[in-house]
Amino acid sequence: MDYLNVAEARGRPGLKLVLTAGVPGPWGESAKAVLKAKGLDYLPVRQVLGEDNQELVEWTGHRNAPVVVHDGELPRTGWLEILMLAERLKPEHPLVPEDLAARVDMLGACHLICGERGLGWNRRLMMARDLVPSGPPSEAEPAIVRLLRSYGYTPAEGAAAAGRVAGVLGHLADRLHAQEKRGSSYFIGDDLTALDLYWACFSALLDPLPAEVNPMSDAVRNLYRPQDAVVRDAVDPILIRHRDMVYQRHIGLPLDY
Amino acid sequence: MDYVSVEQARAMPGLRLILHGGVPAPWSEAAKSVLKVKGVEFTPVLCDALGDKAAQKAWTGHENAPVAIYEDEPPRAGWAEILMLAERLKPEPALVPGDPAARADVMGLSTLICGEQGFGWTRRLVMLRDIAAKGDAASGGEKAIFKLIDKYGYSGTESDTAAARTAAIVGHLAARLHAQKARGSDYLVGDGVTAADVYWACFVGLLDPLPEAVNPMPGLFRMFYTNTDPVIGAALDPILLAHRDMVYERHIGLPLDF
Repeated sequence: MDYLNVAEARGRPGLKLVLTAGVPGPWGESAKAVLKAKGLDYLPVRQVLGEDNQELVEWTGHRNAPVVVHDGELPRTGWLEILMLAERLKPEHPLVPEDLAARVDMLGACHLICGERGLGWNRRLMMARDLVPSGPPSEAEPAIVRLLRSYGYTPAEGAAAAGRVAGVLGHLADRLHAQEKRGSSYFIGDDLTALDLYWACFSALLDPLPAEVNPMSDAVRNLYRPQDAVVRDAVDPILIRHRDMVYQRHIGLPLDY
Repeated sequence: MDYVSVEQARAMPGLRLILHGGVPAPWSEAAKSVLKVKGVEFTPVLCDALGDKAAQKAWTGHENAPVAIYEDEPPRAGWAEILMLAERLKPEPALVPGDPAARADVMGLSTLICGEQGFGWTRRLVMLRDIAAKGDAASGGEKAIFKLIDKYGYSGTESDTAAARTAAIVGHLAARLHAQKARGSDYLVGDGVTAADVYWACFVGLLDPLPEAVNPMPGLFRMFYTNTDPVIGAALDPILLAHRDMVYERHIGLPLDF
């Protein structure tokens, strides 16, 4: 992906999407997937993992990615804010159902995947549990350890995280099995919604796409693969078939980050 | 409510909650109520809505309310962020169920009430529409309210459909409460209070504010909060207000203090 740096992006009109360069972070990948599914063009802007990103902070008030900046509006960092902006900019082919029962159903499940204390959040806590040493932080720690510390890791939260991840995976698999019985490959109704995109992108935190379509570093790939049997066992094959279908039909491969 | 200033609050420990003072603004009331139901102590901090917000902006990066700041953690301005902080600080009583299906239900409904394009969002557009319709005949107070609540740029096109969207959400919530009542529950999800109940109780004040005796809000705001749109009025099933009264009586407490 050809990233602009912050200085190049500032002042440019239209939609700018700040992404962590070189890593398929699930929140960043899902923001890209939402914009792609909606057919919205954007300028990709570089954020560097684990660094201060001071220029980015001065521009947006945020250090991490993704951040979406649309013209003179306030920067948006949350998955839901980014989704709703995309829906507003291009209402055609909605990723959020109009029907209110389906909307509640879909947004609630999206919270389970992307939201605080959801699947992505708890997978990150599991990584922190495995990587963050006990004791106070040191200056010599790798960037990834400093980053994981910043997510509010505590040993108690880390210990509970695997069970929570397995619970969400079981729920998502049950939903797909129920949908398969009624003849749909999608989570809600018979068409693509944001929920399908989020699951496809966040599944990387459990079973990353193979190297030929996803050239991530071995270190990150190992980090993304869970060691816990309770989590690995909860990855029902239907979840992976769904992921593959969504990439094939809607997002496209190879990944480009 | 005894508010401290932003300057005082910056030096204080613990949880500080920046709130709109003097009016029962729904997002602020909802944040307070979540903390109250969970028994989480906080220091209320006054957001000077019409004044200079430089000090608040310098501290939190936000000019609006509510904003929750816990110790030296990043400020939290979104309803879901504040809810999740409350759940972390005091896990019991849980307002977000652990069971994934019920959890999804609560978060989905809460987004429908508090989130972008949700009930509070579309109701605010209806209020803007009603003031905009008055044009130059709008009073100074009305113009001030317009400026205060027009956070995202008034759009006549969006506001034209806002009443129907508000009514649809109100109807959806009423249907859920009827379905729950049929299975013996007074609550929106399951058999106990969740965040969705607290949010609805606080947000329905944008259609039918609690009476003066327990909610001494300024008359101009009461006028704007009270629904006059016939489409929304037709959707406001009595079960929605009975639910509001039950949640305040059993869980949040009265009178309102803002």
